Amino acid sequence: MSKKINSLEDLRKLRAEKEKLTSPREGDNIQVIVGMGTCGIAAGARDAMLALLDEINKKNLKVNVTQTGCIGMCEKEPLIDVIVPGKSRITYGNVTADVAKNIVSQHLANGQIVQQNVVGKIEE
Amino acid sequence: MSHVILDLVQNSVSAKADKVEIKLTASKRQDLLSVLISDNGKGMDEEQVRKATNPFYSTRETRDIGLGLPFAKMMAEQANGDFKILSKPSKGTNVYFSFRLSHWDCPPIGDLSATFVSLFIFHKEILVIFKVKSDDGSFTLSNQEIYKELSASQITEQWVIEWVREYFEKNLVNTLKEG
Repeated sequence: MSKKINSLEDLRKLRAEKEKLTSPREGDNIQVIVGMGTCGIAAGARDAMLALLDEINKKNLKVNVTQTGCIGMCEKEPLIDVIVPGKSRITYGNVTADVAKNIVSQHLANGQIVQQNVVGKIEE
Repeated sequence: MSHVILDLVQNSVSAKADKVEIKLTASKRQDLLSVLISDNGKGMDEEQVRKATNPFYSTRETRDIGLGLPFAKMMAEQANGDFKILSKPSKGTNVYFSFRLSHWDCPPIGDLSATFVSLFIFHKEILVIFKVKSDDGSFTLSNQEIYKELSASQITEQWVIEWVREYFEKNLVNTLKEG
């Protein structure tokens, strides 16, 4: 057995450190929904979701990330929905890790829709 | 295979389980790679179990196609392994599938820690236990024991995700590799 390098004890220490550094994040609670049905997972939704979270954290945005199952556009998976309060709900298709990063930096951070990946729009 | 596990645990979640246990065994000695996913969800009756691996059947109401279980079955059969479902209404469901490690079509294990992280982020209300066993070691990890150390808003923060990933990788994945 290899040595267990970290343990829950490390997590506790890390948490104490982080809590000193970070102040609670303010925000308007944007919601992002990732399609995690069989089709989504097979198409790479897991990687897209991890890239998404990675970028959200880098930019220090306040975003709720949740998941849903298959919505019937399997050929366009991975699918991600972005709901900015007061704006139209946008569904993005073929979301690779790179596209996910674009969505965060353009749409979530700056309110600019990433047009080439939009597959649906529900007007507010 | 890590994708298949993620997919099947999603089934358990849809079946309203609040506890899901994933047991992974990798043994070179027995030439076996096996996965057992047990949940305490609403379960299935005999008829449903029989239909469950038919790709044109699903309990979902929007469409009649479900592919999680048929995929798992197909993969197991291609690699000379077994596939079983044991389920009782209101008791929960056990899905077991295995592969011959030496078989050409034995699927790569894949990014298991990414699977765990996905489950960790999305299913806070459910107890997810991962158990890994190899020829010379075993390791268990549950999401709840990590939540205990954190506040709810911290779960999706990057340093937590990174830590969980690393922790999982160093313990579970290494245990598997040594098998």
